Amino acid sequence: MNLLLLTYILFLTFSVLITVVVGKILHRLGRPFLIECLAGREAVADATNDLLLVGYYLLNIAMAPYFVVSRVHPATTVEVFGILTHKIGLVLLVLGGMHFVNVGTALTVRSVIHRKPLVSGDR
Amino acid sequence: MNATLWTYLAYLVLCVGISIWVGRTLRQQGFQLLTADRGGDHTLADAFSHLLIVGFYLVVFGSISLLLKLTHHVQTAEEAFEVGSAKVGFVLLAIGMMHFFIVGILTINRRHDDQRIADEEYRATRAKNLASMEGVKFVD
Repeated sequence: MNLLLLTYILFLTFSVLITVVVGKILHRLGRPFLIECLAGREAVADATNDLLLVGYYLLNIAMAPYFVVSRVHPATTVEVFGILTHKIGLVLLVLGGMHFVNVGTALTVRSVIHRKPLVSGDR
Repeated sequence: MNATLWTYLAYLVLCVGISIWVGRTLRQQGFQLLTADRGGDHTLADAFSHLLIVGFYLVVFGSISLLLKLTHHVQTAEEAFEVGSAKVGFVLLAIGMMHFFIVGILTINRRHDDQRIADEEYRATRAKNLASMEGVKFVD
């Protein structure tokens, strides 16, 4: 099999896998956070959580084919490794950036809805 | 196995080890930073610090992965050290910046919390004082 083709297939598999795994983790961890941010309205929080997950999947799985094209044709497996990690690094950085934007937005929504402290103050 | 692959492996072990160590420290101490001297419900603080750490790992592993590729094949151990240490240095800078970013977010939140709690206490005291003054007649 052609090494370039192998790189492409591996990259697409890895990026979709990482996106799904990270998405599931964030979906689970973000739920109490969103519920708090939306003043305890669980139905709205769950809907927002699912919508965020769908948007995240769409953006990141659509981004993978955009990053896939490589100008360098790898000759050895070590080169395949190098190209692959470079592309996966880009995907991870975009995931991280998006994640911080989402958390920041939820915090902003929270402080608009109610100005309660993050940790309650009964000392 | 050739020298390039060994460089990759050493780089990965070193960088992943350091970032996991920093991430675990941030997770434990960040939670402490938010909740120290506070009673009540810590669910939100836990979720918040956990979400920040996930972001930290995404960005740090992204940088590690992005910086891995060598532009030319290394031949000797000296070359491997030179190229590898430059890369590890960049990754350490990235980890350091993310660390300060997250500590900054946590500190800002803690300070806002202190301010809001002080405001609530002030309002409660003021309301109590006003209530105790009800019925008091002031004479000219």
